[in-house]
Amino acid sequence: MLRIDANRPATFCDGMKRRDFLHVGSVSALGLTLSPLLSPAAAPADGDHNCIFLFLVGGPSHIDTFDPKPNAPEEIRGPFKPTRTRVPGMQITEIFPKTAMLAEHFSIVRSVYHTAAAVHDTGHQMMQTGKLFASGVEHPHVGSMVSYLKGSRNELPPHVLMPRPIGRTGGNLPHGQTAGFLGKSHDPFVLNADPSAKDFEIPDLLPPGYLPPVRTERRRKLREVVEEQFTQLDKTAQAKQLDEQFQNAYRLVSSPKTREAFDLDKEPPAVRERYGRTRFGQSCLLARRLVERGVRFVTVNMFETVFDEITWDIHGSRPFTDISEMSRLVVPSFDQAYSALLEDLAQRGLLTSTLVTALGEFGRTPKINPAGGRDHHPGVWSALFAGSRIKGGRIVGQSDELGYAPLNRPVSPGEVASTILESLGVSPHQEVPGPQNRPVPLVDYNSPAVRELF
Amino acid sequence: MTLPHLFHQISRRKNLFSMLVWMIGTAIFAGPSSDSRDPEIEIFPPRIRLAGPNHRHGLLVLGKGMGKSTTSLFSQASVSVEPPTLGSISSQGEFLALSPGKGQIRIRVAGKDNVIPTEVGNTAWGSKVSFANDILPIFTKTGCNSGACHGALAGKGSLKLSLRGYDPQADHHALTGQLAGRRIDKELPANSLAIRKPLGEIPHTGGKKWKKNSPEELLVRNWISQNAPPASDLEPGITSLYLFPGSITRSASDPAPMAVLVQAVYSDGTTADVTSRAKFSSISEDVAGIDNEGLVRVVGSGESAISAWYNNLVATSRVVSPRGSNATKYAPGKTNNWIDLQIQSKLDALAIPASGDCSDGEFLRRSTLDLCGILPTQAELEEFEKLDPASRRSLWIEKLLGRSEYADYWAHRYSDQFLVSTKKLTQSAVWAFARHLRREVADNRPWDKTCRDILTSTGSNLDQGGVNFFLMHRDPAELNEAIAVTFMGTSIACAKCHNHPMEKWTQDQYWAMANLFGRVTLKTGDRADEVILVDAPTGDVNHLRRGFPMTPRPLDGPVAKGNRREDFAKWLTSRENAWFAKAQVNRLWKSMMGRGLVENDDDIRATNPASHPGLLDRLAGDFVNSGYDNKAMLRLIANSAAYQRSSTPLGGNETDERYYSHHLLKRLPAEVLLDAYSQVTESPTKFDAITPGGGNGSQPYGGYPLGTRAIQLPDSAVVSTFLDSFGRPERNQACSCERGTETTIGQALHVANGTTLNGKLKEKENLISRLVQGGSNPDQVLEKLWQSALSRKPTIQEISRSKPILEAAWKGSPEGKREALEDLFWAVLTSREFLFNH
Repeated sequence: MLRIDANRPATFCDGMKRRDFLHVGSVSALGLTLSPLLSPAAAPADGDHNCIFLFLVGGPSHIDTFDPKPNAPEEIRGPFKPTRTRVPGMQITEIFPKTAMLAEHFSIVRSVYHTAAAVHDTGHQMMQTGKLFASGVEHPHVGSMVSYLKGSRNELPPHVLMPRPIGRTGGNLPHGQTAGFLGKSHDPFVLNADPSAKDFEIPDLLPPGYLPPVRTERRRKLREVVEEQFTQLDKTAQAKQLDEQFQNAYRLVSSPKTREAFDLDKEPPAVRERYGRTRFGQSCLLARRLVERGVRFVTVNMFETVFDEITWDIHGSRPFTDISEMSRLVVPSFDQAYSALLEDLAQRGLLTSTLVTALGEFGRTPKINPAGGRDHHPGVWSALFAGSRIKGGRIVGQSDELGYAPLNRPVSPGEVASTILESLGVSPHQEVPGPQNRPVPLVDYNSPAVRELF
Repeated sequence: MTLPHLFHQISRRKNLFSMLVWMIGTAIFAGPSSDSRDPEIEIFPPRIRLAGPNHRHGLLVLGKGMGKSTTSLFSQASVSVEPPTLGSISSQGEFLALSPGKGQIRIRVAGKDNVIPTEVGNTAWGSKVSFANDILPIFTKTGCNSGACHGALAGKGSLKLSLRGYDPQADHHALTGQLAGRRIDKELPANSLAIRKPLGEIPHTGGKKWKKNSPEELLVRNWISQNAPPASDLEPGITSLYLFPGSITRSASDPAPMAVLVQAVYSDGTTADVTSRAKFSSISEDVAGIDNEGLVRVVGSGESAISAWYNNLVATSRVVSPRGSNATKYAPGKTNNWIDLQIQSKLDALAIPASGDCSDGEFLRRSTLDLCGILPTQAELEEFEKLDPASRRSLWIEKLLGRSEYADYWAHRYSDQFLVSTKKLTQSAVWAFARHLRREVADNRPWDKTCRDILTSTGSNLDQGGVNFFLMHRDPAELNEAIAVTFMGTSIACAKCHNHPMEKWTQDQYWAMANLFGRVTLKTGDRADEVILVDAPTGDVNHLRRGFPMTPRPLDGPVAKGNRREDFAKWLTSRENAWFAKAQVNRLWKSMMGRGLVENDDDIRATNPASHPGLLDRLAGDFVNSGYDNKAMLRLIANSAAYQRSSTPLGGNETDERYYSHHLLKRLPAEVLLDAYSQVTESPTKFDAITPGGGNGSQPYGGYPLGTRAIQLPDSAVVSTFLDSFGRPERNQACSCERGTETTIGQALHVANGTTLNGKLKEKENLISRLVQGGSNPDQVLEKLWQSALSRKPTIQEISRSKPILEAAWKGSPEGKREALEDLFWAVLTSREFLFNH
């Protein structure tokens, strides 16, 4: 029986003992036992790494970010100068001063490309699943592959997506943020809330606010009455399996760890400031908290749409941003949060077991358009990899002198997916049951991991 | 034809000649000798015709002895060859051909004589190694041309072979022509890359695949020394593959492995024992496994199908493993109709006990949910109790089949199957298609007519709902695949790019069928959103690889000569079509029983046999004979004792999920659950927006008046977090896998804490508000809620534990009373008893 009593002390990740006052849902009738809480920041067993996947929705311009072209003509090289980083020979643009100071931690792949239609949605699919969807079959997100193969470490879900799933980006295609054919039970747990909001609260995670504890308790007791009558559910293998997710949900709801894990107020104000008080910054901070507490994979969408926000989608013309707005309104929040995340993970000893990727769905046209922006360009762009087994301070692949196409070592979306999986100790080409139980490799056989990063 | 034959014999269409040879052979053989045979003794193969001396062929002498377990009786048999010059029998039980001639092998066992007609040709052994018949099967057996290795679309390393050897010409070129011919060395065969790589003599990413001097290596070396000839149309091709025996009964308590025999038949009438060269697999490894040598080991109880794969053909055999040999005899379950006899005989064979009859309340809830997608009301429960206990269940089924909710529910299911949605169709097209389907269901139109009409529909999509089916699959290949899944419950998609690895379908057959739909032409009509479908007089679909069209014909059906779609529909819905009726009865069965006789229900294929093949055949036969009457089929299933069994398992059947020993639990489908919440709380759901085009945005839509039930929505693009979370099908692809039946964390959280149920409970005007205002006492409230939500009265314990809470609230304010009721409703409506159909 699971009953989290007021008198039951629980150990938290900061090592303190607190009294817990949570009585949510009805769980005792389910015959649950509380799994032992993980020890704080336990170093995962070898091969059992985590991933924080920062998805830079909109598609950052590679030339204005991590692949500067100082020698290209003015209409290509853009307004920003390259700056040196802590790694000799590695240059990024001057608008990422904080990131530049941490270059020994991350490597840049400058030759990522895809060959599908130059719309956001196809890139979303490919960069997160390794594959372009065909015939209505949705390939799973890499985090859901991990979730499917490894399951959860404790009462927290294995794969969390925040703050919200990608919404409208013009193509009306699926965005590759589900478990696809692996089934809904491996979908990421979606936050659906903004961690930087003052009244940040995850919908459905806790009972409605208007219910006082006395009523939640009454609901729990009454539900127990009904549940105890229906014992055949506990007898069959099928019923147990059917019930697993409900058990997971009640574990999630009832666990003191849940509330604590999602409670950003537990972070010192200085840390919250370090990440930046932006939606992206606080999402990165929450991602670190979750990984620290046993979540295997966190996907952070930097933006949810390209229409109603200022994003990396710098077409120049309204309603889109131009290059200078990007540098003022988008880049600083990334620079702040990304550098904070790497620094924080490294300080806590988590970087060696946590892969951090930061990438968008395509690059942007080398030539600046008449509106002062750049358009979609999947021909080549850059992706950042840090932590886990990745060796920092490297540059893999080059784009040509105009930033138009890979000059050497082209890296496909499938190879990016394989790199993530391999870093997490998952064999990238293992076969899983696909639609109608056809064996489907996680990533196509001809897309191996980018070995130069390891 | 006997059942085992039906299941283990797979033959391809080009083998008419050899089928004839085979049938003649069988007829001669089956003459007098079959009568004299002890029915408990089985001898395999039925005949042998080896190409020449030095060829070998295995023999099986099997007895179904004690407990009907299949065992080899070879050691007890006396075997002789007549005339003795023809060949000899080795101690391993192999026939070794010695000289050309005709004769027989005589096997005397248990006092009876059996003969195998035997013939030996005069081809010298090893004189001509065939690339297609000998070499490619080696690559398949050792995995060289699998999807994970050189059979991948892009090959592996620099070598690309066709997947499992479906394209001998291309493979021959890859091995002998590419890389400047370095892969083979005709002067020094042992020096060939094609030998040194698999032997691991030089670095090979795939590792060491063959042993030195293994039969694999010797055969390939032999082939190279014979100048590595390509496959030739003149050499005999394989036409059939047999896996003997067709069925094995054995329990896990017998640990000894059992050998099977795989026989290939060629177009010149010769046979070959290819057991050592076939690739084996088992569908349920937890019941029976099979190793590379063809040795079956039974490890658990239940049933499995084992498959042998050789040279692009596949043959299947069934393994039945009864639950422990010392299992007690059980009293048989109840019998209502002939279905129960078939279910019972399987339960007997596996020694699984059947649970008892379900209660009347369970029956009412189950049947109303399964046939109409709604819950029975409190009044209906009371009405039911007044009826004659002997006939009331049948009466109730009859009543359900006549309700308008029946049409709503089943029209919705067919809309799933036909992918009705504004994702790909306009709003007016969605209505045209959905209304058409609902009318067909309401009229209980024969299923063959419904399908034929859709497949042959022409004209405006706004008048002819079925035209919209073609709007959703504009690419002929995609249409081809969707049609196979939707109407035949089988997938042919693999054969688009290569011969189907688990079925007999070839790439040529795929493109021959696709060509049936190449003339569908869509034109814009005069009215808004109107599309006109016409059949163009000319036009063909090119074969993907060959680049020219195949003669249009459905899979193994006749060549289309008239209107191609009409010819297809005629073939599809003919009595002889094995898939059409089976696919539909299997779907109806699954939706009632929780598991298809073939599972998944759109994965009907020879290598995935039904759990109860006889039952499926007879159901399909009944369905055809009834004039494809869906209601009659549902009536038959619903009246069976198997359907009406309790879901509470007994000791001995808890782990059974395949043989219907107890009723399987089903989570209520998304739409049914949402409607059930509306029904019990008396608070309807608002549907006021849609997400057109398959994206994520939404736009208001006012076409659904308040009170529209979720199951009545014609469109899967209506905005509803609840329906999405509970696995409403997206209606993107033709696959029953689209409907999520899993339970997820999100669902549990949404039900318990989310706005859907909590919103209905808080609604100003609902059953709770009426109970607060009305004069019901706590007892009446409990009874009302339990009966309308769970179709049963509360138990004494439930009353004694929940009544005090209500009684306390009854003494307080109306607000307090309301809150107590909301909490009580919440408790019942989030319970698993409510969420599952049981």
